[in-house]
Amino acid sequence: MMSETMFVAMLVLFWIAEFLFGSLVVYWFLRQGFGNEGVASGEMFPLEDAALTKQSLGIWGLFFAGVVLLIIVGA
Amino acid sequence: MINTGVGYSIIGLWGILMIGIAYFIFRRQNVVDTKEFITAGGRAQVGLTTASFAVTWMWAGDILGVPEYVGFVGVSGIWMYAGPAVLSSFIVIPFALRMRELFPQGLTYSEYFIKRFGKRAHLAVVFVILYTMVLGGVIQLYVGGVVIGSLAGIDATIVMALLMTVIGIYILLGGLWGSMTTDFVQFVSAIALTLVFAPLLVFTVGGPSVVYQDMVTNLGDQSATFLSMANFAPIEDFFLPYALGLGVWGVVSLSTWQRIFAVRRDKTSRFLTVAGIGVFATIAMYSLIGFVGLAALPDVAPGAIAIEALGLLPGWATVVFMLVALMVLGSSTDSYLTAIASLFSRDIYFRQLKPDASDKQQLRVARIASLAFAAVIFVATELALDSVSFIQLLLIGGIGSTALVGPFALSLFWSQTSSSGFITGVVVSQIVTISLLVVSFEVAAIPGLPALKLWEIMLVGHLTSTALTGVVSLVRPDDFDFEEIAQQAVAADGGDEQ
Repeated sequence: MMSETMFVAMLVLFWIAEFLFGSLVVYWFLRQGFGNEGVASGEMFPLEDAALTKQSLGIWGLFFAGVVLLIIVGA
Repeated sequence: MINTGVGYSIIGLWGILMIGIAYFIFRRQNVVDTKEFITAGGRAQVGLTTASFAVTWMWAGDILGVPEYVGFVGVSGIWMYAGPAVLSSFIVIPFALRMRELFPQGLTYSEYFIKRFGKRAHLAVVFVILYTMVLGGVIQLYVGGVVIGSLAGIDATIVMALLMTVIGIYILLGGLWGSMTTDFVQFVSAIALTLVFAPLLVFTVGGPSVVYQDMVTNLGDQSATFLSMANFAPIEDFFLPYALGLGVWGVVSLSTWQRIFAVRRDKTSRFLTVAGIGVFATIAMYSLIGFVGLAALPDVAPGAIAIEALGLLPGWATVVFMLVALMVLGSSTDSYLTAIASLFSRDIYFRQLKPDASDKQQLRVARIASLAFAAVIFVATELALDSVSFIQLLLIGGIGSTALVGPFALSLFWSQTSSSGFITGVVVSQIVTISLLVVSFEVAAIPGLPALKLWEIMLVGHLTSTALTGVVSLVRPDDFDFEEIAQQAVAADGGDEQ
């Protein structure tokens, strides 16, 4: 059973994660806008770089490890 | 509850705002051809697409569903609910990367099946996607009617009719561009909801420490179980059916694929990663409503926790909350409606009924379909409202995905996957799972078929579809050349050319 301190810390963690998520997406939108201006409809962009895919999978790995940690610590 | 007049005013304000935004983007992005209407021309930026994808996954149902999960199982309800939703964004990545390599010209992902297997397999896929997407729209509208109707004291049927009218109009105008742009506004509103109103609710009842202590007092002997993240006992009822159904829903959902085809090809995995993980944080924040319910409303049933707990907010906050709930609801429902309109125009009208249809004709059909299916979703929700519970609807929603995920994966990565194998896998799996559902939900008895738990039905669906596709393809193999698809491009009129 999680303690009161851990319960409060968990709520704070959720709030910070949500804040960071919202901030990142809004920042991207403000920098990039709606679509690629000056690019014709249907123009083909190159395929995703393998390094970017590996980076994304790495982020997923860290995330799943974090969830498992949350379950173990909060047991 | 707020004054009915205020409720109508908020719905009116929301409607004007959304239609205004859709009109703005319709003019700005020049939405006058099918490719712009269905996939935003494949040039949408990562920020816009991430927001759109995330808010589409932040179902209005989460506002009811997450507190209900917390009410039933405690803190572990957070990962049991959020895990499958997030998993979907992860599992779809290899499908998305492969499809964008093989089928870069796609407008709807279902069109891939006509290239890979021909018209009969395509028809089977269209059927599964169509009912899955209509069911998705029904789930959203169901919650909208209940939550907004309860907060505003307006009859749920009237709320649903108003919502579908507004959404139908703004999708008719802007297609996917309209959906994604309104999604962005809705995303910001949803984040504001969770960052401001969920903590406000906690402090309304005394703050996090008081919530914790009151939960311990109210739960008594059960507090050790409810306040443990490792409460695995309810996993069969609350996690597995969701994981096996909605956990792979993203692979089947046309609204997911529209966003995959809309974003730049070189950013595909990035937007799926950020949006998927972000959804976990949002769902976790909704759990605060459930904790407040357990602390302040010990006699309320889990299914009513969200509505009762939100009633604790001060009057002004309820008004703002209702506006935000409308935003979250609109984002998901409009995504399903855009997807259905696109499916009807491209896959049914153009691919199956009128292959020589011009781009203008396809666009007109897509726009008419957006209004027609708004009406279909409304009628279906009205029928479901009195006969099915929300959780039942939510979990059944994943049945369609059990027929498609395995065969789809085989078709993408195994050249011997044949049309007969694919069709057999999809059709037999659907017949088996629907029959098992009928028996297990005690709608009717079918001799020889046992009643199973929902997660077992989902598992049987996955195994049947994947195994049958594999075995029949081994017996009657294809030798498909994937390069054939990749070498094709879509002509300006929406047809195909080499």
